[in-house]
Amino acid sequence: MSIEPKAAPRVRKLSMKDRYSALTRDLDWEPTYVTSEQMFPQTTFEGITIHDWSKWEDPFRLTVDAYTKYQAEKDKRLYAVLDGFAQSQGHLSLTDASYLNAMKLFIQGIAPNEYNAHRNFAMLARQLNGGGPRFAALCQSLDEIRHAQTEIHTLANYNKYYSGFHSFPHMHDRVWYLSVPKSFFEDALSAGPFEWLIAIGFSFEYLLTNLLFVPFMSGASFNGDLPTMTFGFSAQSDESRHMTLGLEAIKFLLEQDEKNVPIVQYWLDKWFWRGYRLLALVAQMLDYMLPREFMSWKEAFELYFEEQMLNGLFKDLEYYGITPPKHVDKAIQEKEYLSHQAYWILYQFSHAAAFTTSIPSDEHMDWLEAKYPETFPVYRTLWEKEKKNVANGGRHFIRGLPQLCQVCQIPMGFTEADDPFVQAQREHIFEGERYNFCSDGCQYIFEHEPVKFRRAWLPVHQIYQGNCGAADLPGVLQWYGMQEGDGGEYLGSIDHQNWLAWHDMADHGAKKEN
Amino acid sequence: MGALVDTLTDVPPVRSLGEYDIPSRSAKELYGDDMLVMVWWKGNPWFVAAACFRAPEAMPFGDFWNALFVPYHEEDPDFDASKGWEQFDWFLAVNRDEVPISIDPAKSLAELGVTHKGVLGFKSR
Repeated sequence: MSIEPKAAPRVRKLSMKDRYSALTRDLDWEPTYVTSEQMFPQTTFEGITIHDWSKWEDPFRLTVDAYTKYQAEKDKRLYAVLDGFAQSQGHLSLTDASYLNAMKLFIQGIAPNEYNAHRNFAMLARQLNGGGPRFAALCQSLDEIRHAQTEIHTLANYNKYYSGFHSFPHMHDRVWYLSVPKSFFEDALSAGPFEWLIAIGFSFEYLLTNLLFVPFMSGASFNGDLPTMTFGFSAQSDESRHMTLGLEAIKFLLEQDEKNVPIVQYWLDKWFWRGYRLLALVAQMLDYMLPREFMSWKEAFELYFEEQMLNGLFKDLEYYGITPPKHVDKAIQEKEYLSHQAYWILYQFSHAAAFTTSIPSDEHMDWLEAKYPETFPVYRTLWEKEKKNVANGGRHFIRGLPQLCQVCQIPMGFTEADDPFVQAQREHIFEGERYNFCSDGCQYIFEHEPVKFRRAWLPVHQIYQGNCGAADLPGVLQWYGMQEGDGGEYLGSIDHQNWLAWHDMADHGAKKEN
Repeated sequence: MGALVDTLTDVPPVRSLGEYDIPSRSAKELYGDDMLVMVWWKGNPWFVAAACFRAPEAMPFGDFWNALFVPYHEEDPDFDASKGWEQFDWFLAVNRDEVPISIDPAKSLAELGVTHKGVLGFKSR
């Protein structure tokens, strides 16, 4: 056998489209030694019928070399910004150290789930029958691990100066409020590949993605956080591909067989509500955690969900027999008060959290009142009571553990629509055991999957079983990996004191020069 | 107390790759002679959610009041423990409904009708 190069090949450069096809679809084959069920064992049990995998249009249309070249360019730009920001002590030009509470939530709650998304899309890249969707899943899997890495690198600089950023993967696995995003993603990870595509690919990456990312990234831009803003831009072009993939996935399932429609509709109902409940964390961040506000949750919800999704997307999906998600009316109603209730939860439990909270300033409350003229005055009475409490030497930290919702795992602080002070209580008795829910939406999900959701690892119930390191709060916080200064009241906290000292030093420096 | 009556019976079949019938991670037997009790001050927004306590089923209500209830609720500056449990109307929450109960401090939580993960509600008179 000769190792000489063969005679010069015919010079024929493939078009981008042909190249893409040669490098993706042409690597697909029909198995002959095993059945396709044996080769792809995960794509039948969910009850989804696929007649023709070749009908899947891959929106990525990238080859690996084009993809990596493009991503490397973006990384280069991002890391240049990160270096410059670190070298110039850019953290001192944030609006306030309390801004970073939003980023603490981000690294603790979101970054580990970018990694989870990477894992599951990698699984899809093996398990989907079609060559097109497998390649699309591979690209998204690479995007997701890159996002996990760049988010962590972006925020790592703050870890040098501020509390609450250390130990985030450890905390993600253990801490009570992080069980909300963790259980959300693990519900999707433990579902089949099609439910994952609707849960994460469509509902999370398409339906709700702007409500998640715009508040964080614009919040960063308004509060002097150049690295996070740059990370956001760097991820944006990936996100638009993910949105296209999510939309392609749902259309593909709906077009393949009519029998798929009711299955997809339930997944939509379920994952809209799961995602919406998770976004309660974003709602309170947007309205309460940003020292320089730019948009209320209500405005974001109206623009990114009601206008773009309900009035846009769902008009298109009507053609397939898909209706807007069940319980969406409740979400619309809650836009008036979701953030007030969510922040009130975090405020009174922040002694057990790795972020801090504080009473909103009077100016901030005026802003809230302007944004929520109908509802905020009611919640303002609570803050006035707390102000008095603080003046008398108190600070509202709950002396115990809350009732949790079996499905979303959030403390049951969301109220009935007709009474701002009466929390909703829903329940079911299933095989002799009682389960509690915060809402009709969460109860509805349990009704469909009680065996899965009775397995939920509810932090409060686990603490009482002795599975969280200790029976007392200090012991549990130690098991959570928390350190002094991570949680509690912001005013007077380690971060706050450092912030004042650093800026005081800067003032003295300026005076000397005069 | 008799066993709870299932309210959820018509459940869609589980779709899974293999056998999937796993037990609850919060089942009563995991707490021995204790149970989890949700305690809900209905209409008082100071406490953002009902509290969850672990308490013996046989704990008399009077002990429950002194050992668990008061230390927790005293955190609300408007709560006056000296007025006793009589200052409230007590009930068991069943979805949106209230099933009133009359308190006898000598009776155990179980005798009052509180069950594992049940909601013991109360309202200011």
